[in-house]
Amino acid sequence: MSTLTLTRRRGLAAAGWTGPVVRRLGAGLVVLWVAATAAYAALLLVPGDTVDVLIADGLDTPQRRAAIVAEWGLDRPVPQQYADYLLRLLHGDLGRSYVLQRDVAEILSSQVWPTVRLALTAAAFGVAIALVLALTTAGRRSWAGGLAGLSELTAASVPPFLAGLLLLAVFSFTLGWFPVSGDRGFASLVLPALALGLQIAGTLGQVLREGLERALEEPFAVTARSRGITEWRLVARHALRHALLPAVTLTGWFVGVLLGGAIVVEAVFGRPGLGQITLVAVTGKDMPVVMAVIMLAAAVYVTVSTLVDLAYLVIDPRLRKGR
Amino acid sequence: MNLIEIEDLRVTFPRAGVEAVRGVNLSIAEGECVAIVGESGSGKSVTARTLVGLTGQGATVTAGRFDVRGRDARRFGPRDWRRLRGRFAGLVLQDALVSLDPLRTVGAEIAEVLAAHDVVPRAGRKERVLELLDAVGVPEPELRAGQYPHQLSGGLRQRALIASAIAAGPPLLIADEPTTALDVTVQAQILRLLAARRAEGTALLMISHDLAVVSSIADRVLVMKDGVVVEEGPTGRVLSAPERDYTRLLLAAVPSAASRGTRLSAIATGGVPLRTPLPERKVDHGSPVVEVRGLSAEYGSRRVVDDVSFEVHAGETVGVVGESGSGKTTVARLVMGLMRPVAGRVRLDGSPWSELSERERRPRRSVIQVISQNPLDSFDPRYTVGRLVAEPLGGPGRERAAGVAELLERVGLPADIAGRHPRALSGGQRQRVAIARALAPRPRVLVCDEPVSALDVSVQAQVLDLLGEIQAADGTALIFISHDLGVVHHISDRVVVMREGRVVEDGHVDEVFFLPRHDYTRELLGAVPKLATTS
Amino acid sequence: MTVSDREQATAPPPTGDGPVPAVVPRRYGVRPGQAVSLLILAVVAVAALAPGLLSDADPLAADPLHALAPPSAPHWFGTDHLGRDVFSRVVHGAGYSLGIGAAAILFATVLGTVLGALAGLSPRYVDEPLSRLFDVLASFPELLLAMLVISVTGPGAGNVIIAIGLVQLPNYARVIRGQTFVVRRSGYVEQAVTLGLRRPVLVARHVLPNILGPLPVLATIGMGTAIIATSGLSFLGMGPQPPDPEWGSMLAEARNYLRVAWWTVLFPGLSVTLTVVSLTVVGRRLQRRFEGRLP
Repeated sequence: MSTLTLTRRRGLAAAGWTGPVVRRLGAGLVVLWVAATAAYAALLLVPGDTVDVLIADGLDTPQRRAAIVAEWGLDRPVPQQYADYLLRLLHGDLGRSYVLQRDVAEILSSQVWPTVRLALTAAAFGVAIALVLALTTAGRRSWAGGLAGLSELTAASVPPFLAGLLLLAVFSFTLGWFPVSGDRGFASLVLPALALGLQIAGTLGQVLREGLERALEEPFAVTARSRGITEWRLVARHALRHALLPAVTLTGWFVGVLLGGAIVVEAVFGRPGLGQITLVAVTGKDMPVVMAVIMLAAAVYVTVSTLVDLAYLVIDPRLRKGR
Repeated sequence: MNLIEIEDLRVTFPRAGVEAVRGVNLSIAEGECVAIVGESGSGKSVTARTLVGLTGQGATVTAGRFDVRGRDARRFGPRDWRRLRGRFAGLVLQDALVSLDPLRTVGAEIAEVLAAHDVVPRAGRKERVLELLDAVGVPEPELRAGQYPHQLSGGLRQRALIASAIAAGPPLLIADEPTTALDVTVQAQILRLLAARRAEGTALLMISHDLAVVSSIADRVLVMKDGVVVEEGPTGRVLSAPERDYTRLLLAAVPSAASRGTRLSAIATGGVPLRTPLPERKVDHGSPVVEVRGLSAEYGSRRVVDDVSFEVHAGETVGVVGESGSGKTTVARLVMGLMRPVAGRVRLDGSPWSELSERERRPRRSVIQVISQNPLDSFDPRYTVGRLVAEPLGGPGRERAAGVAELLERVGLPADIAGRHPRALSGGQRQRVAIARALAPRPRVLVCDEPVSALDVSVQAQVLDLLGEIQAADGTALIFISHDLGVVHHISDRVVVMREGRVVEDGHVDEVFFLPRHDYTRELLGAVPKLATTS
Repeated sequence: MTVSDREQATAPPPTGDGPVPAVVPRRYGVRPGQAVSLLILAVVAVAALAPGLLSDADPLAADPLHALAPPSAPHWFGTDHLGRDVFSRVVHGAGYSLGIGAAAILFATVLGTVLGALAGLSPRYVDEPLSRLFDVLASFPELLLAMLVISVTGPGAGNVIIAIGLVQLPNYARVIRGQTFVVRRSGYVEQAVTLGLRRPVLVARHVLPNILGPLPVLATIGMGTAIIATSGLSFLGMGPQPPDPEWGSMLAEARNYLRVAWWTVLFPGLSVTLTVVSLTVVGRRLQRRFEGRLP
């Protein structure tokens, strides 16, 4: 087909893309704003004096109290505090952790890469496993299809930390193939990424297979077969795109699974990363860090879901406006 | 040597417990046009698809003889079938919107056949695609090849689908209901296109539920019922002098000008079937029950109904005909008071209707009821037949139950159907349930929006007969909306022809259909395939 | 001989006007997997409601002399690092996991339904902000949102319920909102208008019951998700506090003995997984039935 996508590229506007893109970006900004507000509300909702809350387990000195009051503008009325807070966020200032005595942005940026590596590897594992399972077994009413379905269901139902523990028990303790903990090279990444990716593999696999099977029963599949193409080509050129549509919808959810799962998986495998930071911050009630993590998660989600919506437009021409 | 030579073909779906085809013989010679006609469930589609090995999952196919160009297809493996598809036989299904991959461009779909059989080297494929589109009468092939099915009109889509079926130059084209769901004028174009392919020497196997569509094009007709060929012969002979009762009744069930005032479900006599007359209707020519004056409506800023006027008297049937997008369904919604007109008004029983508030309209709603094309959509999915029909009935439980039984009997349904769920009923039964419910509040006007379009000819005949009887007994006024000119001619007293929201012509049905004054009416009438019956 | 059985083309036999489902389709029957799932759920439910019926051992009774003993006749699932009976803890843990899950789902369904129906039935200026709110709630990774809530409220079963309930809320609200749109525009509601039903009657009789249709399906599958989330939060020490035998917190404790006592991990882990798998299987069965109702 590739030779014949003639008129597709004639600028975004011509293809009817401008509207959806603008709308999407606007919605993304709204989500970010509400997330910031929610984080701020959470800060105010924590019982106790806000200064105490912000200091948490950090050193409590009069100088520091003054610094906090100055930074958060706590001597001013709440609406103004809130406006200042939003303004600071706009400037990329995420505040300071008084527990760790460091700027939050610095803490996050020093820990973000191990988590990104973990999440991307896990996503790659998940997608690869799901694709292989779905493509090899879709439409087969045999034991292979049933077995694949059952393993997908199980994979989707095992909490990531449990998957991590089981993988550790088998591959590290019993077989000794992979290191037990830490972040040293690819070998130490395999088990955590698998533990995190399994849930994605299971869910995505189910959705893909169902989508493939549905697409293969559509009238256009009969037409395509009547042209004498191979079953493999039918799946690759026709059915897979149809199956991807519902799968793409889940991408936002995957981001949630990856970010949330990273917290537990990093705990199980003793890996550094955002998850550890978050866990420490939540248990230590280090609100500036918790708030920043929330904002970061919302930003990642907004970015990904915007891209997903654009992917939708690429895959499904029917959603583009105009003729 | 014939292209196809099949004896005693049997197809069963063991898992579903269905014997779809039971001993069919079929041969197709080079360049011949054979048609298989039958109602749904007759096995005609299954037979056609079996010819290219696409019977379906879980099907068991057996045959005493199954030769494709002299080769025994019973020994074919998947690879043999694949080589045959597209190259030996092209398949055209109904409704290109779903029969072409909606996510791929039309050009890519056509090029796929070329690639699968390597008919044209890669470099020449694009050019060949454009030639093919041109050959099936798609204007601006360059532009269309890059578009998606949903961007094309129904007619162009269907042409593109045909282009993909003939791309590898197969000697046989299998067309399974190729014009169903198309407007008559478009249908006529597609039939001309198929006829042109045939004139160039391509053999054609047409599958259709519509005898008239087939009569214009086929050399030979096979009439199928319940997986068996009931009658077979040259088209002219089968349609003009059928030998079997089933064929005769099928032909008698087709509504037309000739069938006015008679029942379509005729009685088999062994010879010419007997059409009994419908009971006499009395049209009250006094003041109209429904009066539509200068009615206009818009969706957004698009005017979909523009200055429509007509009136309906008690006991009278007014047909509203038009192609898709003509605004006829919107007229129905306006008359029902489900939508507010931007101009004009509807009067019901001589008093205002369309300008009322819903609160004022509510007590009078029982006067006017509606029957739609897909009754299932209008049934609350949780309700049984009994509850559906009982809903408009008032009164205590026992009275209601009696009312339901009476209504069901009236529409010819057994009383025990009350406990069943509409999903478990056939299309004809569902439509009868819809009619029973519409009758429950004793309306004076019935608005029928394509009530028989989704039904088989014989079921359509029964439903139309039922409507005729009800009208004669109750003196109900009928607004009958349909795209099918034959049905409208059969049932209507007067007719309104609509196009792009406007009334182009109206008057007595015979006058409008026999002596059309407007070009569009003439075009419509000219496009309707005629049954070549001479008896 | 079969000609084309191997080819996986699909052309269901046209049934058209024929009596539609003459035979009840096979998928409406109960398959073995579904029966097993129901059985598992029944056992888990008994464990949750009346743990004493399944195990008379005290889940909190420590016996340091018999710590980390492998499975045996007196201790089917072995003992943990304090010598507590793992079987009894797993049985008593069902109440926590199922209870928290069910409570969270109840919270989410009730609030989600009210908000979703409100959004779906209201004019645009109410619908729009509500839908945005659902978007935002749904945009947070569920574990993170739960942790945000817990960082405000502190750990504990009640707070976990609120946290998970909030996380699940947008699922229900969005589906109910969508369903409201579908039902409002459906042919049968229009039909009810033409029958002249008064608006409250129409809403009570045709709109509401059909809007609520997908809830049992969503709740069953959502319960599985909630149990996974609960165990995750407990594992991180934010749920019911030790020594209460919640499955997640059992796993957190057992994690340090993974190398020497696999049974302390396997059995609570198996309980979580089997329960979730069973809930999903039953939920899908309900879903198919529900979808079958709507043509």
